[in-house]
Amino acid sequence: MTNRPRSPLSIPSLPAAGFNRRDFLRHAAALGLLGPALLAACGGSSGSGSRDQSSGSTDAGGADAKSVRIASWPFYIENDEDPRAAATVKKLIDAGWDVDYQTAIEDNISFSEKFAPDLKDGKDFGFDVCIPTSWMCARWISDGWAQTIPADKVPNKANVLDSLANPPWDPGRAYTLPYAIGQVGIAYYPDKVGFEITSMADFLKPELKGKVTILSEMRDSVGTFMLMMGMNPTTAGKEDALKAIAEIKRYRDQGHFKKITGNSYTEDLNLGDTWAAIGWSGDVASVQAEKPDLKWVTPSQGAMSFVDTMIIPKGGIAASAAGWMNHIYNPVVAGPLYEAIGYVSPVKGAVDNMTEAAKSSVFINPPASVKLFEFRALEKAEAAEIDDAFSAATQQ
Amino acid sequence: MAAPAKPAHGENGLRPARPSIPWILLMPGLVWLGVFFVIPLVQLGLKSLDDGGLGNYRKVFNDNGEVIARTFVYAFIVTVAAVLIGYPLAYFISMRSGKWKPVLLAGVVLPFFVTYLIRTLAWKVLLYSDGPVAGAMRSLGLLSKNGEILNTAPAVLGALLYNFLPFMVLPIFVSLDKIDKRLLEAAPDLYADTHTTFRRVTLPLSLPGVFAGSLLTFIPACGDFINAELLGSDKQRMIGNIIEKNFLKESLRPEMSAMSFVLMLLILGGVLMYARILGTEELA
Amino acid sequence: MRKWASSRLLGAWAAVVFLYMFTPIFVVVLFSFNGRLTDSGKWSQGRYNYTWDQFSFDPWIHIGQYPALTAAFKRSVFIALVAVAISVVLGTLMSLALVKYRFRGKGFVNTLLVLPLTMPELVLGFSLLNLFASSGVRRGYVTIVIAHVMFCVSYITTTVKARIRGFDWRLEEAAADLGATPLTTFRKVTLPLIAPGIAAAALLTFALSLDDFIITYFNSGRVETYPVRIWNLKRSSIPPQLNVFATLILVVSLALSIGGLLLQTRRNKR
Repeated sequence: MTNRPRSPLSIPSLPAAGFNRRDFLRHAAALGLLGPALLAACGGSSGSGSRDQSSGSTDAGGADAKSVRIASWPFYIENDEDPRAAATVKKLIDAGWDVDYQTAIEDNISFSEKFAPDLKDGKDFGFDVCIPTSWMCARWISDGWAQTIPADKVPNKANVLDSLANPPWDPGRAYTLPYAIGQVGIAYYPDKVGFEITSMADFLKPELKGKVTILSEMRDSVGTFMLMMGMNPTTAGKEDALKAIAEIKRYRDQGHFKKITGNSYTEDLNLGDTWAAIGWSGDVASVQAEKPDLKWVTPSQGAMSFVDTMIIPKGGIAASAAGWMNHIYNPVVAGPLYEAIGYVSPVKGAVDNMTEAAKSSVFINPPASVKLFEFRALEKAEAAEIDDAFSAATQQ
Repeated sequence: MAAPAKPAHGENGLRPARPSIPWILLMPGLVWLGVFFVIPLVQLGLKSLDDGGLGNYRKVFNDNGEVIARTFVYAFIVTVAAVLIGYPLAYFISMRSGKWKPVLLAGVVLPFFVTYLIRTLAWKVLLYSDGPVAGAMRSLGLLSKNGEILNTAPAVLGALLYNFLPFMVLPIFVSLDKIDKRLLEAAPDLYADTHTTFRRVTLPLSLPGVFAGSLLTFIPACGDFINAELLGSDKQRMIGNIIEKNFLKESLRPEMSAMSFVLMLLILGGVLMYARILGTEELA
Repeated sequence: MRKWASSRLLGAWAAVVFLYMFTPIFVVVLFSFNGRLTDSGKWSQGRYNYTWDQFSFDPWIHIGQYPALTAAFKRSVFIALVAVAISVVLGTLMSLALVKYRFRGKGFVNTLLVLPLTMPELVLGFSLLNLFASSGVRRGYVTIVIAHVMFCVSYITTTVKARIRGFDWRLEEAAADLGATPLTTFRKVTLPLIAPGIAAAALLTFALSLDDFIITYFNSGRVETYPVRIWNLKRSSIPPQLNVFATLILVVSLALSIGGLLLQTRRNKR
């Protein structure tokens, strides 16, 4: 599966995934089969335990209401996982904000396909801001599924890192703003592995056969192998990607990989059944907090990075989205936010607002020696071809 | 299946005052099953021919032949193992457990009272590399230092067997328990030894239970993806895992439909064969 | 003598199989008492409740620590109630028709009822998803209930059928002869006759609905039921509260079954 766990934005506590009492009652009523008694019973039962329901979340509704509905990736500091840490973050960043935060994105493609009918029609499907990965945002823009950001409401837009200010698929960031930057690296237990891993070549040594996992996210895995093979994923063509896929398949056929998964690799890594894994920086940071002997390296040939990016779907409320973007692009807010979620901030000056510990973290503030590459923005047709080849190589 | 009509009521019921009465009673349920069970299946068949026609099936067998074969091999192994393990247990409960019978029977059903996902995850606790089972096996010399149980075929098979074993034990128990014990008492009088009694009397009479149990084990085992996902690796994936990975992808619907249709047809064939032999009333 | 030996052997075998069947249950219950809640809101055993840390009542004391999990659990109970209520009505009507009356097409109906039980959940779930997706129905509460009723109806009908076979339906005729309206006859004669069978069937299907994962997973859209929540949660953590909920379900089901059993023996004795 291509679910990625890395969840950037992690605003705690509010409506937990998918449950909204009014929706619930509406659906229940729509069933048309329920007696009034049952309806009342359901109201009672769903209301009583709804600590997770924000106090009147979207009811405020007014023009200036600081409320926003966000679709992001599962996990990390999701409310359900770490409520108290989440509460700290909440205090820091969403002062006055009523955030309906849903971990609705499990992987880019499924999320898009799920809501494609609404996106095509420009219907509101419950979110003002979505945070897919940059390449998916590029696709939304070209399909006409996105709204432009009302720039006048986002003066802090100027704080975006220069390197990210002008992607070819969204010049001047008319539609999108980066949310978080993650790195793809190798996590391993030196004791179990028995030697130091510094490169992909080490990771692929026969001693580790059947003890390692790689990611099912095409760009992250293929890019990592391309870098190992001396290609540059930012510029390389389709043929190079296919060569890298053939190399992945060769190792898979040898039984080198225990699993090719999305986020669930952290489970076996945590148990120690996986000795080494290609993983996402934020995840590894949280596993490391429990397993201090777990080491993180970015391969010497270079590492892939990804940018999860905020975009306003056509049916969303642009004003709410813009207000929220402006809020978190304030370096004073961004500093503690990115420190808490463990990803690199795209906001200039955010690092200056972090503690010393965070400033020296390789996850939040990687040293200049770490060479990061982003996958080239693919045309739709070649993306489909490479995706197919990748899934054929890794799934069958 | 309804047997030839007998007078008055009895097993086959009354003749309704008006022929429409039973159909009126049946209608709401039939409509529900028609719309949400029959139509989707027909649609699944049609969908599996979208885009590529029968080529979809060829593609499914080409791309996932190994997974399809593995699914049936796994389900078969699990079913056979369940018979071998479950039959003696059912026999013991039915014939030799005396006043403990209801308690032991409740014990067989007990796993059903624990949430499926959670009881499957419990195997992870037992089987991981530094866990109790692996540790015990290492100290007995049955597992090498770096050997693993979790993420291997035995882990997946063991958990599948665990999850569906009660489906085997219960029907066998029922058919054993129905046997008139006087028959078994009569056998020794006719100079048959225990062994012969079992082979000639008990076993044939319990076969319907074995058949029913086999289906009830084989079917869910075929369609499962949870055990392979939670306890298996790349090398243990089953049909369900492929469908689960792709079910939201619109573009792959025809192919996934073809795959589930293959699964369904093979099982349906088995069920119909079984229904012909034993009748649907028995199965229900 | 041989019988005694074979009994011993069978008994030992049964003991081994029961050990196999009970060990995971023991683990589930035991691990509901695993780990302390530290001041940072994290569990002393870490994100995954897979390794033994220390005995503590914290998971039970903080049973509501994960609001989304608690909400999903309540949601599942509610969905199960609705699905069972609908299927009890549909299923009871069907079983009455099938047991009481003789009519053409009965075999066909019986076969149709058995088919959903002989179909892997995977196929049921995926084909329903296809139906909803192609007809533009948004997946959510309604589709979950529809799916649950679909498989519950068969269970209810077959279970109730088995329970009410052999009743003397002429009692109904007698009531009618004595001047009772059809409704009164149903309330005073038929319902008391079939109620225990329905109750047993309802309990069974309630448990099935509450625990259903595969069919629900395909048709739940954004709505998370209790099993779906576990599945989604599993990607990031396995908190001990999952074991607490599972243990609770185990205890309640056990209590209900024992209660039902006692009630039945008392009724039979009378």
